Amino acid sequence: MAPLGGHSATVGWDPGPRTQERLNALFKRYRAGVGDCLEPIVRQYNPTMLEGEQDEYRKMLELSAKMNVVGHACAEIGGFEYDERRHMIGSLFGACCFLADSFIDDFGEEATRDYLERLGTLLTEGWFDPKTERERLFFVIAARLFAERDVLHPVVRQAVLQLYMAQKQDVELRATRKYGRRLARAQLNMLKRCARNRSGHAILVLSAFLLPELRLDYLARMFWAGALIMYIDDHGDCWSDLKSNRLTFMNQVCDPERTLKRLFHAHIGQLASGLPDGDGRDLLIAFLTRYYLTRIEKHRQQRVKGASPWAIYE
Amino acid sequence: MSEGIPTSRVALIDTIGLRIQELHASGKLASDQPLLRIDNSERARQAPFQFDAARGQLHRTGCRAIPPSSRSALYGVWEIGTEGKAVACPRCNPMDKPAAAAEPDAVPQQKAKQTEEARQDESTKPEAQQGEAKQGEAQAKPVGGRPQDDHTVDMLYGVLSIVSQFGSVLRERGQEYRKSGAGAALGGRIEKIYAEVNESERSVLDVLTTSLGTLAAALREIEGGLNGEQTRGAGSRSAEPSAARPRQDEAQ
Repeated sequence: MAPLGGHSATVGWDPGPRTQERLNALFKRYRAGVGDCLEPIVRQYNPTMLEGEQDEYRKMLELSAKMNVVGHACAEIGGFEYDERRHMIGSLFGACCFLADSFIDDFGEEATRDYLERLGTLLTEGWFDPKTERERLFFVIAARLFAERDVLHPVVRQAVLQLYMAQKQDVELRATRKYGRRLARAQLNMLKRCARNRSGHAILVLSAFLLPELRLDYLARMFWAGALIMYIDDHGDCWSDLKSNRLTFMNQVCDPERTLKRLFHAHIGQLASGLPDGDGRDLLIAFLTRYYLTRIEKHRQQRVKGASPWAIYE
Repeated sequence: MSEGIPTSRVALIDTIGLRIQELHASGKLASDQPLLRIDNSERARQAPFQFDAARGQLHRTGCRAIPPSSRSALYGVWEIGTEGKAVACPRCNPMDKPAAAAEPDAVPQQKAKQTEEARQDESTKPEAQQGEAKQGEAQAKPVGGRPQDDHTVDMLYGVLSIVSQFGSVLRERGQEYRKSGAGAALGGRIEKIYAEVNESERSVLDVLTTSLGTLAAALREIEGGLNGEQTRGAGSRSAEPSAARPRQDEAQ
C-alpha cells in the first residue's frame, strides 16, 4: 500500500512522511515475520488451518501483524525497545484475539455461549479442557502468552477480566434487535461504551504483556487509543455486522462517517497532546490515521460490493 | 517460550499444560480445586483507589465523582506512583493522605519480577536467559557435604525453582484451598503439625503439595507415553485411571 500522506484534516498532528515510511517498513517486517512465530504452533496443534486456501490463517497473520505495529508503538511510548521477545508476544496476542473472535463469531450462538462460559471458567479456575484442535491451539497460544508475564500482576489480570466482560456484554447486546425502531439514546450509549471497552481493555492487555509496569497516565491514553481502534474497526465491518444481525454503535448512529470523523479527531487530539513526544506516539498516530482512512474506504467498498468474510484489508 | 528457550522445551511445556487440562477433564485429578484464578475483580473493587481509564482520573474507592459510564473501565489501584498527582480526582483527592490499603494480589512476587524485568530490559536480556543464568550459578556452586546428599540437594533446588517460578500462583492456590471443604477439614491437623510455622508459610506448604502432585501426574502421563505406554488422545475422555500408573493422590 502506498503511503497516504497527510490527510487534509490532520495537518496539526500529522507525524509526517518519515513516520509514514517507518509505518510501511514495520508493516512489511511484521507481515513477513509473524508466520515464523505462529506457523509452527498452528502446524502442530491445528494443521487443518494450513490446508487449502489458508484464508483463516492469512487473516490471522494480518491481524497479528497489526498487533505488532500497535505493540511496537505501545512499547516505545512506554520507553522500551520492541525486541524479539515483544515481537513474539505481539504475534501470540494477535493470534489469541483472532481465535477468540472466531469462537464468538463463526460457529453459531450455542458455540458462542459455550466459549464464553468456558473462558469464564478458565479465568476463574484455570480449567479449559480443550476439545478440538482449534481449542488446543487457542489454549497453547494463551498459555505461552501468559508465560511471558506474571499473570497475577494486578493490572494484567484486571485488564484480561475487563476484556472478557466487554466481550460478554458485546455478545449480549447482539441479541438486542431493534425491529425497525430507532434505538433509545441509552441503548446507543451502551453500545458505544461496549465498543470503547472491547478494544480499550484489549490494548491494555497487550500493553500489560509488553511492559513491566503501566503508569496511570499511560493506561488512560492507551485506553483511548484502543477505543478509537474499535470505533474505526466497527465502521469498517458495518455491512458484515449488519448482515449477521450484529448491532454496534457505528452501525446504529445516523451519520456514521461524520460521527467517526468527530471521534477520530477528538481521540487523536488527546493522544497527540497527552502522550510523550517521540517515535512511539508518532507511530501510534500514523497507524490510527491509516487505519481510519483504510476503514472509511473499506466501508464504502463493502456498501457497493457486499461484505465478504474472508476479504483481507490492510 | 522466551527467546533463548529451546523449541523442544517450549513443546514440553505445551504438552504439560495440555496434559494437566486433559487430566482434569478425565476426572483423574484428586480434587476439583482451581488451578489458577486470574479473576481478581472482587479484590479490585475493594482496592483503596480506583482508576477510571475512560476519563484518566484516579479516585478513592466509593468517590461519587466516578460517573456510571466509567464503571466498566475502572482499575483497582493499591499504591499510587509519582504520576498520581496529575490524574487525581479533585473531589476525593486520593493523594491527600494514604488510604488503608488492602494488599493486592501477588504483590511481593510481582514487584520482584518487575524490578528484575526492568533491569533485563535495560540490558535487553530476556527473562529466560536470566533464569538460566541463575540456574547455572546454582549448579556451579559447590554443594559441600557427602556425595549422597546431592540427590536431596538437587530435589531441594527443584522444589525451590518451582516455588520461585509459580510463587504467586501457589499463594493464590493456598488461599483458595484454605477456603475449600478439604482445606477446612485439614486445618486443625495442619495447625497442630505446623504450630511452629507461621500462617503464610503454612498456606504455601499446603498448596505446594497439591500443585506438585498435579504436575507430577502430568509428567507421569508424558513419561508413560514416551516409554510406549498407552496414552489418551486429545479427544479421549476415559474416566478410568490406568492401572500402570499410580493415581495422583497416591503419589503425594
